[in-house]
Amino acid sequence: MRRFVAIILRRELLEILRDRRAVLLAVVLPALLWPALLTFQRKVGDAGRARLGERELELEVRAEVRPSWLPELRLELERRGVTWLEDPLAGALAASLDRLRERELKGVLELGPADARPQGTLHFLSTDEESRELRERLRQAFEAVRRRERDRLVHEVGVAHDPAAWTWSEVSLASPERLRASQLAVFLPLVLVLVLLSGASFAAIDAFAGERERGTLETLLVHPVPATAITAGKFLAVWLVGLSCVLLNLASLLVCYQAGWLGTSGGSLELPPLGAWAVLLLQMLLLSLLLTCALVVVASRARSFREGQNYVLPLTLFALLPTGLATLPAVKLTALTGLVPLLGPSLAVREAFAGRALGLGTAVAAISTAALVLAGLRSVARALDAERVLREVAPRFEADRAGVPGRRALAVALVAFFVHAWGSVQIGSASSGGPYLQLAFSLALVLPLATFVAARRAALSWSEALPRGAPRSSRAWIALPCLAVGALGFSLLAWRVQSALHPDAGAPSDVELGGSAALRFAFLALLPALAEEAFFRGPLLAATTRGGRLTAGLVSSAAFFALFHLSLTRFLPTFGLGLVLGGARLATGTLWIPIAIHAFHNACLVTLSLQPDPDALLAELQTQSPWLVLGLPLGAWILRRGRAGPDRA
Amino acid sequence: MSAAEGARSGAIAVEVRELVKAFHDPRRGTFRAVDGMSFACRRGEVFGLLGPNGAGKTTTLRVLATVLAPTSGQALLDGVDVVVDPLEARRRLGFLTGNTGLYPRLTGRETLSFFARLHGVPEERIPARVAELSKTFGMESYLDGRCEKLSTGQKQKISIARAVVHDPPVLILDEPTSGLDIIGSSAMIDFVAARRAAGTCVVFSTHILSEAEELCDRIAIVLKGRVLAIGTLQELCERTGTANLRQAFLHYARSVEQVAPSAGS
Repeated sequence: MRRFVAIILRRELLEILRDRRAVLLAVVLPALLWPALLTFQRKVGDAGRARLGERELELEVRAEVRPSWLPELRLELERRGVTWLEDPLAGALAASLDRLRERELKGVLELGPADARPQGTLHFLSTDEESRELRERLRQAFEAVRRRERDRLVHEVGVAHDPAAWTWSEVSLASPERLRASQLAVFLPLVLVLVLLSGASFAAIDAFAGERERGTLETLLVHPVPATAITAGKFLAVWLVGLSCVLLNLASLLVCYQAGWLGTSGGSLELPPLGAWAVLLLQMLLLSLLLTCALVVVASRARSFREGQNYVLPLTLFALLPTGLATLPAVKLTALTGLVPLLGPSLAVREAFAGRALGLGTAVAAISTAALVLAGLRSVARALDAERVLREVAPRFEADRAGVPGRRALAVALVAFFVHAWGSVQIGSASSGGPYLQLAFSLALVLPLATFVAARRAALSWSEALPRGAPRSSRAWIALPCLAVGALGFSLLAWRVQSALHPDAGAPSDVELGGSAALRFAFLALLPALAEEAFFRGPLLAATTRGGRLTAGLVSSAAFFALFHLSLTRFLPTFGLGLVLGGARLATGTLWIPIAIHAFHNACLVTLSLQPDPDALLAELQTQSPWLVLGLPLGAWILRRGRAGPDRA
Repeated sequence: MSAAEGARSGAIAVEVRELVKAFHDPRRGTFRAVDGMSFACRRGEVFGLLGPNGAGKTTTLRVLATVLAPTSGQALLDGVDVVVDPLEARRRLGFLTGNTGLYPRLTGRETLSFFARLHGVPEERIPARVAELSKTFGMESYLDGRCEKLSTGQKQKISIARAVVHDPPVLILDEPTSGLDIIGSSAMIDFVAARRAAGTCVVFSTHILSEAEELCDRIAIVLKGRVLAIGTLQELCERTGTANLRQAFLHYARSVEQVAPSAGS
């Protein structure tokens, strides 16, 4: 296997290196980007600034009052290249402002009026570069006059207690060089992701869609090489190209630093410590793997090079969006933002270069990206399915009435949703026992009926629709506590996101239901767990995942589960919980596991609502939610080990 | 056993038993591209699958080449079940289509060496094998040029050499002359004849009657995923009472068209 991977990798790299377009995007662009940008900035920017600084700018002065310092101001301005135009017989102000708009003047300074508190007003054109420059020169000149006047007063009167007599200076503990380094780091991840995508996308499209278009992919697939080895070789080639783009770009940045080009007119730049570079390299290593997975999956779906380009462009824009968000000062690295793909690693790099200590956010960013990479690699392994490549249809749909049972079950869910919504509105306004009646109507009538109808319409056997047997593996019971805690953590985390998006979303512990604790547990924990799982993870999930459509089935059943809660502000947490419960049902093969997880989740929230200060407890729990979520991968790992063991047989 | 010995003894090299390959199409629903096809061919024999476009020839050959999995039935390549051990089956197989797709930025020599490595030819033997093929096909003058700069005929020769770089006992050719000019087609016909002489079993799909007449030892007439008749040219003509392959083919095609409406009623 390793030998085949090496043979494929070698050929791919050879072909890439012999392609002028690939060399341009993967070598020339990353290597020359910084020198080109900095040279442009130095030569064009500095020259532009110098030219602007040398220009003589005209200022019309209209003085109704003539303070004693006015001649001094005039001198200061003339020293700064401003022509002082003062005509006592000047016409109306409106005419002068028209001349300013026509760019005949660069500013009009009004001093007065004489009969009120004197005030200076500068009229300038903010869209005109020279007019802005005049404003800057006036500010400097006025500050110089003011300072001199203040010094004179202090000298004559003594130490003034007037705050206006004080001079202020600011001392930053971070050196200006370090500040410039942290400013550079704000944009560095964005540049690196852009460079990586531009270089690796060409390699990915050529290795998959290009080869398919040329007809060489079929040739390759009839050779005695496992498809996974072919995919692995191609994946490694794309990844190496992407990674080399990143490294070349960083190397070129360091060369620019050594050459002193990074300093520009603002001064030199201090390189961040080694720890920051280690964070940068680790995050970029993981990001390069993640983006390579995405590129490979997308490119393997395309039938031609052009089609591949059409697919990759939206992917690039999609990838740049979270990376671009990391350049905004308001977006901070937390355990939550660390979870967002691309945003987390970009923020981690920004924080490390700004000299902040490594925290939970950095770890979460690395771990979540690594988890996404593992999921991505699974998709990559299926990228070269010969049946799909040759037939352009997924083999799992072959000879199966794919989609029909799922569509029928979804139609039942839609009808049930409308009945449930109608019933909730009607009963909710009816009487004092409204909430309990609402719950009883939906949980004991609508959902069981929907379960029955969906199973019949989708032609599912009862064992398919409601799998009530023991789990496939006895390890499912060991995994259950981990999954239950993980699901609770996941839901709480989703609540945090929902609250951030919609501050009025309320809290999961907001339970507006009277009655005894036992009644609440029965109606809010036990009954929903049974009725909702029976329908959403029963016939609806079984029908929509038929024919191997796991993702489509999971998402649609979770979406209906969330819709049934009749609250847009609670959609995200319930949708997330629906995904977890659906995953548990598919992984264990029984309804009992999602029922237990659901009951535990709701029981925890009911318990919370019964406490004297539920909000404080909830806040504490939500802080711990990223750690609780770890129960999910742990549970999944236990289940996976169970499947690999003798139980599987 | 060498290929030549196999040819003499007439050992079965390719065997297809009740092969079915069904696909699901959103518009047509489930349909069988191959519907219970059976045939066998021996070493040193050129076996032709003759049928119109869409008859199921390419699908059958792709199942034999292990890139498509059969829905039911069995296919054996040199005694190896293509489903049970696809990698071993591929080792015994050379596969060539009319599409002479090659890696544009590799030279002919690099292309042949690459595929030889994939077939497990020892590294030290690869240069000699490439030189041997280069001499056989007369490719010395352009073997070190990039494939993107070669003519169609030169590319075709490299493709042929690629298919036999590991000297396979079975060669599958899927409409290998489609898109080729007269010189290219005749070069292909010469190549098939040479492989037959070397004891290779050649399974050949075509819809060109003259090619089938000229090349094939036995012909299977394929229509709608089924084999309607198998035999030598002479046997097919005798059975149908016709004078040539074209008439024999039309005889079988009409018989299917006559049967289809009554079967459907």
